Amino acid sequence: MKELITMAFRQVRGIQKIHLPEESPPMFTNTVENLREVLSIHRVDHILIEGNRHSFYVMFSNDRWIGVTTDRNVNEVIIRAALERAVKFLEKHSQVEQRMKHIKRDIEEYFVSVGVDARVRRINLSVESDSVSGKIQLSAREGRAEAVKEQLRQFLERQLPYFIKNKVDIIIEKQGLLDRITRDQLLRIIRRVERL
Amino acid sequence: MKAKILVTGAFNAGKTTFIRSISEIDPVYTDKKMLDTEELTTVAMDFGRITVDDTISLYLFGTPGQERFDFMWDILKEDIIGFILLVDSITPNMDVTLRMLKFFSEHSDAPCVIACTKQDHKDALPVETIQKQLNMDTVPVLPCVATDKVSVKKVLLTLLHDILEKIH
Repeated sequence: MKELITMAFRQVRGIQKIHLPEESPPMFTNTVENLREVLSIHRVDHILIEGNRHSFYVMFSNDRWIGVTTDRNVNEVIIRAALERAVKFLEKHSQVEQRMKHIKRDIEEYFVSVGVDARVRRINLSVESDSVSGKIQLSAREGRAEAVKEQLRQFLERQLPYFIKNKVDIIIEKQGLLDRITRDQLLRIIRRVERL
Repeated sequence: MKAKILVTGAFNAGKTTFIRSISEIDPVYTDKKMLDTEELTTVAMDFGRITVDDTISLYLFGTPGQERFDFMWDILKEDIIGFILLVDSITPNMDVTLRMLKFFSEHSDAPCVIACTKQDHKDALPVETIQKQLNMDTVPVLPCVATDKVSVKKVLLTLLHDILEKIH
């Protein structure tokens, strides 16, 4: 997660330290949480505290917060824009995490909607700070591998936000009997034919 | 879910009759009269259906028997779960039958059964003789009367159970 936040602050000079809930000492975290409570009364989601040499800026978003200590002379507008960018990154990251939970179903539904005859066999993906990586194994008809791969690539590009560096290997295997019918479906057919 | 079974065999093996005997709908025929004999022959494919429930249907597709329509095999073999190869027990066309068996076995992983049709005819060769001529002991070879629903059902069930074993 840290890399993602750092990415949002890449253009800003004078950053001393980035503070995140999971990396800050409990006392610091408690102070920030108290601050959130106070600010929520005034319906404010960010605050700048200026010291003699440094400034501290914190922004709240849903259940998390991002704080940053900067040199005194760094422009507040720039810091705020970077924090907003970081929050957006985090939101997109959690969106990707959510999408990954249903990726198998989404891919299958997508294939049906575009009329691609392919099935998802196995998915082994992990979401990292700035990328999704892993393997997607599909089965498709002979001679359709490249077309199916391209369709899936396009789908993944649309599903994943722009900052995600895609490192997904798509493996296409030849369709087998089990891709065409399940044991349960076949048993139902047999029972029906027996009744004819 | 649409399960597809192919009914194939040489010219006049009884593919259209086989499908007609078991299909719950009037099969879609693409039969045309032959110029020389006025007999009917299938020029594209026969098609029959057995509905299991709202979600599953079993479709039977018949291949055209004449050699000039062999290009259809490649299209019809797609997505099949099994195929039934019919052999005319009176005049078995072994060359074509073996060619069909080779083609579908090589281009599909679907299980197969061989049904020797016209077994009710007095001139029908015994199943064992046909099996010997085919030199085939890995595939079930069954007697069949394509006009008889019970006989057709038996062939179909043999194939379905064979598929079941394969996806165990």
